Amino acid sequence: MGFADFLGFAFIQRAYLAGSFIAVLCAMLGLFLVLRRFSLIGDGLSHVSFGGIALGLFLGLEPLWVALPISVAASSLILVLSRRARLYGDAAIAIVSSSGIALGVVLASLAGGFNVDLMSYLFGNILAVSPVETYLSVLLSAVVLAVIAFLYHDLFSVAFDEEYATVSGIRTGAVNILLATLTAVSVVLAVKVVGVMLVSALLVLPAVSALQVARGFRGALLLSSCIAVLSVLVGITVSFLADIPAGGTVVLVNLLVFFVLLAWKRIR
Amino acid sequence: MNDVILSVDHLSFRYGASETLSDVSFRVRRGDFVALAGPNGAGKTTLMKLVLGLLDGYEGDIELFGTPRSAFRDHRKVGYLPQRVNTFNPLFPATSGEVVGLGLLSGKRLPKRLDGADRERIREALRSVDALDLEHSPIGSLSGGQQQRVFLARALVSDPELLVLDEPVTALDPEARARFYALLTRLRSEEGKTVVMITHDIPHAGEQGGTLLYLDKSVVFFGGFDEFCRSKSMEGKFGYFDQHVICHQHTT
Repeated sequence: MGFADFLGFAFIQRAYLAGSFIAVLCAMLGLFLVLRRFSLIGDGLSHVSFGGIALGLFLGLEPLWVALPISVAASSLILVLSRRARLYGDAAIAIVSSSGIALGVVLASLAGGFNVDLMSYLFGNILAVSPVETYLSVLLSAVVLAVIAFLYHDLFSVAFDEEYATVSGIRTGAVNILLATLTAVSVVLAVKVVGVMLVSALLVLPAVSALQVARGFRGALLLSSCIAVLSVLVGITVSFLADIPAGGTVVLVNLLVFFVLLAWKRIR
Repeated sequence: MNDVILSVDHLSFRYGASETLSDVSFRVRRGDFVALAGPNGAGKTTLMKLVLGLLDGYEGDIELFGTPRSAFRDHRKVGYLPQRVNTFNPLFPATSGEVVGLGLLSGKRLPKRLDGADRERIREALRSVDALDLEHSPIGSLSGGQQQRVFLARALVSDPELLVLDEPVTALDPEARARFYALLTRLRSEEGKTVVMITHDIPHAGEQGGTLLYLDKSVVFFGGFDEFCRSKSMEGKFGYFDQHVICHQHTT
């Protein structure tokens, strides 16, 4: 089988398309999150999405559609706990994260244990993405990217210096809620690519890789997106050819890029 | 014409059970230079945060440019230079030009965009603080004095009428400190900026002339530096020797 034959498979095309859009989305949001020291929010929300997915499977509903509103609500809960209950951000994330896992475990047990469906969400299966899921992933990714482009300067300002952004008249509370909501949507989408266990890698690794070499913020966003897409495309291809899990391979390629850029930065 | 830019009347504020500010009143007029001084925990930064809208829940009245603080929306009129070490992530991959551009966002509608004229204003602001050569440099790679100039350019880029400076010289070496004060003098004399500056460096602030607002939860002293030098109550606060040193530098 040649590479052209490989590219001819509809499921490969869908995996490339959906994976690339979701990768760009995660890479851009991930840069904002990393710079604001919110890297773990992706991990926490992915655990919440696990609870939502388990609830969806338990109720016989489409799991991702159940996980989406629950994750969005959880993202706001993290902010509320941080601000109103005066908890540190990582403590608020830990509370929400463990609650999501607890919900998932209990529901999975009630439903007769962990089945194949739930395992596929834990570790992702981008090669099994359906045409409808592909369209939805592309559509939701495009919407989120448009919102980022629309609010680019406000997001940048709040990420750089929240206090100064407030003095500038930017509604930093609203920007924070929006960023958390977009992250929740992205996490749910990314579950299909790399699974609950590895979502935070898709958010964090391209961003920290780009930060090794980027000089300006726009450059960092662009480089982070390129690394994410490259990692997804290479990861999917290698995983298919070597018959190994796609999610794990995508993350390992991301990790490799990170170490290469880290080494290059030190040599330079 | 009303030339009162900042008006604070009977302002009180509590952090929980602890009273941080008590019945503070003063006025800042167009062109004034006000050095806001006081011991640690005196409420200087709290007062500044209340004026800038970073804290709510106060008693009393604050007006900026004749508008109550809660209704004030003309943010371009206020330039703010924060304490660098408190608010800045040195690993942030922003160039100096990008940082200065943040000062132009307040007057723009969504989607906010910086056009060619804005980029020229950014360069002009950097030029005014002698930092044009730093435009494309990552902010985290600059020295403390260079970063201070870039942040001052951000405060100046929207051509504000009021500059609020939070301990701007704390992290600077003597040479950078002298350059900063020279720049401040020029901004006041040539551009007529009104300046409120939190500082522990009373002697050098005194060289700017203007007014000293000495705070210790409430206003202890508010008046000119000459008056400060004659004040027996401030002699009691500072001690004869320190007051003498400050006033000696002020008058020479």
